[in-house]
Amino acid sequence: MSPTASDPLYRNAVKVHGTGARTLMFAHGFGCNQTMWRHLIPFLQDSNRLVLFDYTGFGASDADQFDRDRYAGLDGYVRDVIDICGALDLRDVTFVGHSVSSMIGLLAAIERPGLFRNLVMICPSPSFVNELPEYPGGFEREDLEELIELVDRNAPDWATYLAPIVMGAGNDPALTSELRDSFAGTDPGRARVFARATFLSDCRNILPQSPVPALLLQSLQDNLAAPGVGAYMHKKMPQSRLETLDTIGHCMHMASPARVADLINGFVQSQEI
Amino acid sequence: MFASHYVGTDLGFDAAQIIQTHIDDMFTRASGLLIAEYLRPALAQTRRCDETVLTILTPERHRIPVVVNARMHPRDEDCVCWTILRAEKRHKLHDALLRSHELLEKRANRLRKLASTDELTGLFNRREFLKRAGESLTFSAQNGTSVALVIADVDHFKRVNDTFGHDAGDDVLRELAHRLRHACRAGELLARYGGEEFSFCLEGLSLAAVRGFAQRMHQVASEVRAPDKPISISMGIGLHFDGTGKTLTQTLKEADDALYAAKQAGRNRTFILDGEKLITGT
Repeated sequence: MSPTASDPLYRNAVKVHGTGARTLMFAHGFGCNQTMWRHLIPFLQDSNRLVLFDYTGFGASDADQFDRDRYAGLDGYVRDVIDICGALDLRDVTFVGHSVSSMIGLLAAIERPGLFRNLVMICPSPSFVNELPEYPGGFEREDLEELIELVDRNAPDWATYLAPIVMGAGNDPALTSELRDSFAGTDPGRARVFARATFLSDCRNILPQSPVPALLLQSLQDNLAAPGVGAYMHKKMPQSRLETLDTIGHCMHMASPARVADLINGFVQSQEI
Repeated sequence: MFASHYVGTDLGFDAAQIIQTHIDDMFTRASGLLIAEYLRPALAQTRRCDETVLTILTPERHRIPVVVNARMHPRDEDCVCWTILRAEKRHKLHDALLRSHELLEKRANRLRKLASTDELTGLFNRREFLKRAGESLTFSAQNGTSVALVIADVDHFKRVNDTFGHDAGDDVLRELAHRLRHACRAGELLARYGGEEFSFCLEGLSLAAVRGFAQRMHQVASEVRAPDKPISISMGIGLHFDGTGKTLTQTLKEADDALYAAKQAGRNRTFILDGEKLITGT
């Protein structure tokens, strides 16, 4: 049924690389698309089958199917993930999510038991809003709302403003340019919807429900997710493992792909036994 | 820090105290992030920064939207000249622009949907089908994958209209469209091609699978009533296998010729045409 445009493989520009026995599904973060994984792929594609996609409205997806209401909260993105898994008949796979996609993966794992064997969360944050002293989200809600608004109001240059904040100073400027180009290639109207879903969702209450093992990869210096966030998640999530890397910024899969790939491979193999 | 009178009168800072203040302390935290991560690096690189929207935080904790221009002093490397102007009206204009943008986007989406949808059946229309089938053929030619284009025609549909009226005829088309749609699988695109004709674009199927598809659709059509008896369909299929250089028009012409042959051979059957070769299907 629904053979036409809603086919998720077409809608979400799904690409499959490699032929390994284990399948890894990669979900990009806010303002990005599947090309952001290009640094990591060479380290993983020989031994794994890799499934890449773009959320509806981003990258090479069918942007006509972007619906403001569906994608106003994380649920819409969870649907994309579940739809793609259904179309490819995926089960028991490793889900690798960057930033907001870590939470999208966790929501999908809870909703569909058996879909994922385990989760890899790169620079995750269940909430960007402080609730001190217990939770150091990083921002007061007012500041966060304002940051989203300022970035938006500085359109059309919003990509130029946000990319250095997300990438973090001290990394190769070429990476900041790459991230900026990715942001700039995103329609500002759709970016606004995804930004609000990303930065204003609070998933802290679902962490204890995590049904599968999870590897949390935390950056030591990250404007968007301080080390306290990783520690908090590790404490709340059963079967979680926390690795804090001395990396800079919110995109360690771009800045330090070899180390991130090593940790993913090690984690995935440890789960096979 | 030196500041003009305006900073006191319009931005809410005490002119005497401003001398003790660092520029970063005049802004909100979110603005501070933009200044630290974007504005200062940009100043270091290009010595100027234009029309950045930020928010002033006054000593009384009022937030004032402003537009900031910054220039490195031409002679003093430690000195930055800031021009800060209130921007409430600019904000209102921006908001109005956003609202009209969203409205236009909604309308464009609605029009796009209308332009691509068949009103009676809710399926894609012929225009959208041709567009998407063309994309499939291009992909097929580049990647050596197979595409089959199918035209299906309801047998003796004129009899339904003449005997039971056009409303009954419309009911039959709606019911058939609904059933065909539900019988389609991933990679099988369905449209109303016109009148009592439907079309499919099948991606990645072998010849055997195309035959299986035809069988499935004949079965589905036979479940629709005319209303006095079950209907049947005839189908013609044009193949675009292994990246052959055939155009959309050529492949559709083959499907159309195959359909004509199926009708001539007694209807309720499928013929497949691959170049000159006519293959009897189901």
